[in-house]
Amino acid sequence: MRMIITMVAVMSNFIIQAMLAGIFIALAAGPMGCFLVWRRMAYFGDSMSHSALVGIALGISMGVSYSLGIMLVCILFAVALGSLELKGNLATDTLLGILAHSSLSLGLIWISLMSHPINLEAILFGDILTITYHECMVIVLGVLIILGCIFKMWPKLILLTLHEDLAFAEGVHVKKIKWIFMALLSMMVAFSVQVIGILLLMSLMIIPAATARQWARTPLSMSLLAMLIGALSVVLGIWGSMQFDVPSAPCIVLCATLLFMSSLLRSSA
Amino acid sequence: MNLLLSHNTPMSDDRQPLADKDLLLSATDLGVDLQGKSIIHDVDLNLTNHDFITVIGPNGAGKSTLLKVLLGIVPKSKGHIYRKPNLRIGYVPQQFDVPKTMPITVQGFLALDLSKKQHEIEAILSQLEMLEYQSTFMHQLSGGQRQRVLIARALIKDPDLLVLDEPAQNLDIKSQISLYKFLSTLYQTKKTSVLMVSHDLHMVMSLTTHVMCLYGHVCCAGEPKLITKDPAFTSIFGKEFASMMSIYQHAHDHHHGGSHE
Repeated sequence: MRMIITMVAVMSNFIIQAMLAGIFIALAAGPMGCFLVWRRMAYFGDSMSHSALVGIALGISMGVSYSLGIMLVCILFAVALGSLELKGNLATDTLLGILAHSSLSLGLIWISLMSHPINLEAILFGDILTITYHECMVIVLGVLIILGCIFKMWPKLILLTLHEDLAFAEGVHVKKIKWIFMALLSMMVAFSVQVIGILLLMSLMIIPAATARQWARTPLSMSLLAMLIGALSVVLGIWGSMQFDVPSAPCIVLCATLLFMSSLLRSSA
Repeated sequence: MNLLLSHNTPMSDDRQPLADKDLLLSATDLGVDLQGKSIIHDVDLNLTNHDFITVIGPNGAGKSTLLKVLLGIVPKSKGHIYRKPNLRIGYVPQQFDVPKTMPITVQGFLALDLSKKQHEIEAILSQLEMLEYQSTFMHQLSGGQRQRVLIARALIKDPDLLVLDEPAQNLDIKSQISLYKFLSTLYQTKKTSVLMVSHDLHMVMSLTTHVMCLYGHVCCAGEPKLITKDPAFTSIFGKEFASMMSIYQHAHDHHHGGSHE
């Protein structure tokens, strides 16, 4: 009897941790996803998260945490893109296509060369049910930092999104804020790997934002709504994955998609 | 999508010229190169209090670049820029497309990052005859309405200098006239200085105190009525146009009694 109670307690503990981590990631994904939607950076975000595989390999090779490796590589990704854009004769989506898939390939090869085995599937599609208490707390803290920064810069970020030159002329430090945003995005990628995996991360950022757009009347309400919709998708997704014994990350994404489809029934301006 | 590395940090003015308390903005020997190509060079400009300077010139002459380098948006490659300390500048950029993915109303846009109260926003909007649109989404406005919202945003900070980049483009003739009428009233009543890029030469001639004709460098500059007689003006805009402008100028002078030279 006592053993069963302990088992249930442990069971519910890891589910609570999974839920908590998932919900917090969804909360950060809400406003970040809105900016990706507004700035037409969905493909950029997707490509950046592909490069996370190299970051994981780098982190393991250097013997530091893989999150640190991911953040480093994501920032490098943004720098590489920025300098290629300045060259000027190729479109950004072409450059992204090159960078995304070459970094994915590099990561796959690097990881295959490593001596101790690595669960590739967990990296690509997440492994939310194995999250430890410690990892969960790191995610909660990271998300609070991301949200704090986003809402502190909020009006400047919106102005910059609308018109960079206008923002600059009004005294916004455009370059600085853009790099802070890149750093936050790379943090986002690093913290979400275990929750949703690098291949599905962008859907958790884009779909709730797109869903929220149908109802929102201000940029802020769109972000808050996206947070709520994302969190709801995570809860429903984890519940569904346990109910039907299917992988949790795709389940979360499909729940978000269902919410999106129901939002299409209502179309605001 | 130019995501990164496209901006300088806001620049500091690097030289104090001879003290002139009326001088708001000046450039000496200014040059901008972008990707190894010279966009503008050897530009001198002095904008003093209550000036209305219009920059004209053919497409690709570097007019927008000139405004951007003066505002610090584009880095200068050569020369000096002076801006009066604490100069308040209102900028009206050339293009402004609000993505329809972002739900933001006129009111929301005007309140963004400015600590202005509701009634101040409404006052500016009614000046521009845009009060009825304050809850309209930005992406649903017509080109002319959006232009007026941009001007409202520029004016809301009560600027000493208004910088406009082709404010009348994409406007029908009626909206153009009302826009220029508004600018003219603003210039005369509030004593706001104006620096504007424009293609509408006949409007320019009647509004402006100074015209600068730019084609990479300053071809000619001066009072509107004198500039049409300048050979450099004629060579860029063609004889027919120059003489047409002089005729217009003449008619304009005549209309106002015209002996204030």
